[in-house]
Amino acid sequence: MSGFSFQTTYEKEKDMLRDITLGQYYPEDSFIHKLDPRVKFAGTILYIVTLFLFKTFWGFIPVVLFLAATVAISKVPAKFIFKGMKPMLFLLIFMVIVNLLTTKGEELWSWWKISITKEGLRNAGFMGLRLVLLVTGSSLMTYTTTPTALTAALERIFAPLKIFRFPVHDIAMMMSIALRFIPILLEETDKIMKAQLARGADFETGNIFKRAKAMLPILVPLFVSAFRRAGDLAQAMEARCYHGGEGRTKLHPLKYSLRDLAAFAVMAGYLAVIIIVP
Amino acid sequence: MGIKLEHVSHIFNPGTTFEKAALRNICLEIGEGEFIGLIGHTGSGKSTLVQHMNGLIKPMAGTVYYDGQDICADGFDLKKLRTEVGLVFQYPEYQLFETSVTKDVLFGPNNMGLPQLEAEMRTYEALKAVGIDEDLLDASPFDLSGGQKRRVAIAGVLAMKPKVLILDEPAAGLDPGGRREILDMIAGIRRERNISVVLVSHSMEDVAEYVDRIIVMNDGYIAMDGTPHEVFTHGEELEEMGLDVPDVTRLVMRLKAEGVNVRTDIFTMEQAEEELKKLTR
Repeated sequence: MSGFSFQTTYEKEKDMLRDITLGQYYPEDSFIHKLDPRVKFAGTILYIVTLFLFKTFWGFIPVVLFLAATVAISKVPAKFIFKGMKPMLFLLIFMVIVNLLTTKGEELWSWWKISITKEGLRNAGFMGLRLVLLVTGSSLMTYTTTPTALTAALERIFAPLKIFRFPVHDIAMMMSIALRFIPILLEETDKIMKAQLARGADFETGNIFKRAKAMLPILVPLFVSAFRRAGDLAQAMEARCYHGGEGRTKLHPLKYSLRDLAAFAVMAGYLAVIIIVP
Repeated sequence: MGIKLEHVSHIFNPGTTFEKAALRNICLEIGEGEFIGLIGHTGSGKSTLVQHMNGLIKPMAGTVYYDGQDICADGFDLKKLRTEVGLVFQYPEYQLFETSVTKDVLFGPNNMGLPQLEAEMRTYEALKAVGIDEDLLDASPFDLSGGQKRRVAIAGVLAMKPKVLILDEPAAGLDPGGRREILDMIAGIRRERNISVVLVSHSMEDVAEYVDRIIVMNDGYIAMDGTPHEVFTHGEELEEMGLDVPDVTRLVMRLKAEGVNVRTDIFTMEQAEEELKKLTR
């Protein structure tokens, strides 16, 4: 094995780590960033619902305009918005091809056993566009909302479930800790990987079993460190008298402002347009 | 021969709000047998710089040479480079993974494809050099104390017999006694093996009395490069960069400011004692 391919593995893996943009916050000072996270959550749900409300291609026009305007206001570079699409690319292509080839109807073009129908073309286009808009739209929410704000919103939205003894607070807390640890563990993986590379580790050559075994020098320290961090965090929480959600107040309680009312109004208008469109 | 960096620059996350210049136009040469202290406050680019030296990070501009060869050239053997330029990361004890101390240290030599006997010889030599007792050889590395773990991790790199040994904050998180022990040990290894050593640290006090040359990094560029005496004549500039000069240096600087005629390029207790005795004569 040459040293060169060795380098490429590391670069490749690092790119892979960098590609996990879903759930990554993009700090900016914009109208969208300042919105109450509950508004953004509700807006995202509304947006996803509207994607399935219309039946003709005309419906895409208001959706794309709405998304484009929101992205523009959020100041998140379009490059980032589409980067979130990268891991979904395979699914997207697969869905488009399946829809294209399996839909029966008026034949447009055929060769051997493959035939493309008008309906197939329409379905594939519809599905493809929907999926792209779905992923880009929901990634905009995570780009503009910190994980902490998002879990606070979820906790509030699902608070009524407490009547059924559903541990809303605990689950929200677990979720926010898990989200908080993603970048930390990614960074840790990167560090451990580099350290083992510096000791001549090889993650690329050999069959699948050999390669799986080559991951051990990364996985063992990663698990050890994850448990160590979990233990430290638990102790720190104990030391601050954490005892679950009962009677716990918030430093920044969620409050609606005029800005949020305006956003709700825009969302209502958007919904109306989608319903009117054929 | 050795490592040579020419106009090396590196920027993290270019074109985003996370953009940060880590290295700006670094020119540097590390010769054989040198003992260098690489100093800079947190975020000054020291860690990024040393990762360029064994090819873990590629420069965005500029070239890194090892023994006169461009390490980014096609066909350059990076694996061999990494065995010759040994890099011990910060808190290396968090990279231990094997079931016994010996097996963990063997990881490096085995990756080099050495014959088993040779690999084992190097392992025992390295463990002896870092002062790990023989009765710990079969212990699980996770059962050792913090200081012992760090020694085992350093041995893991040492066992590859690097010609240049780079240690990123080897004394971080240890008590003063432990710091001294680790640094004494490193100085001893350097003397015995006659290799180049680069000590990366944010603390002047730790490295000043060990090394022959100090490179000061600030905000991604090299601010100073010279012998400890040369560097410490710029005590005030160092403090402006947020670096802690040794207590004795601060003392003589204060004396000088008060109008006492003393040298200020002093960084050990012995030098200070000598200089102050001159005053009383």
